[in-house]
Amino acid sequence: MQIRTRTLGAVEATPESFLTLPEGLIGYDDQREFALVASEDHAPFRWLLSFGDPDVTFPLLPAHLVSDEYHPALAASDARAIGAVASDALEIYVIAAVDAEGRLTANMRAPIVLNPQSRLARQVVLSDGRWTVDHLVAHGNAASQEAPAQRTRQAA
Amino acid sequence: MLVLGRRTGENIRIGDDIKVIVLEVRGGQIKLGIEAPLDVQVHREEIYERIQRQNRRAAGTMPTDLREAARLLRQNGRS
Repeated sequence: MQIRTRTLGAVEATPESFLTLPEGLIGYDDQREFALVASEDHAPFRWLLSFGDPDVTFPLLPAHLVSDEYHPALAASDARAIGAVASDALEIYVIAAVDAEGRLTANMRAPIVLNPQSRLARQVVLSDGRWTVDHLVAHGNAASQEAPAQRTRQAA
Repeated sequence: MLVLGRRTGENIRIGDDIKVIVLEVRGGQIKLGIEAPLDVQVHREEIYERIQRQNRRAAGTMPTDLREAARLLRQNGRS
């Protein structure tokens, strides 16, 4: 099945990639039906594409790629909302964004938790204030990549 | 806007299944308890707005910007 998008054109999505966010995403509560598709050009990102709106295309990252220390505590109500019981292995994604300076950030405060069994997902808001909505993942240019090395030289 | 005065321990009902309980009033702070169905998400306003803004920003990500970010991640062995 094809999904029409503004920025990616028509994207092929198979039924295994379909998922439902019963409450939508925050600020997008009218969009419920999505597909989560991989793209060779953009790996390791995946695209969360809305069936209902060609302008709603979210880049997602599997959360463990952003930080090994990320173990969000899920409220019982969140687990129930996606039909999960304790034994279900849930997939956790974070929404990525690229800011005007080309920095890649990830929303660690409000991850998307997917129950692969039910194909239900929810954008969960963590009460843990250590994680921010714009956690810096990577700088987008060579100059900022070199900054840590320069600091090391000064220290030595 | 409806304005109601409540004391500690008193409640407000919103519809059939949302209950807001005044737990504590101290100084300029009020502690509220909220009982709501599972499908009603309750957030502090400022965090809700921050997430909404960030979602809007993310929804418009250009594939060309993401391609560069993806290249960086693969370079750093994060894939």
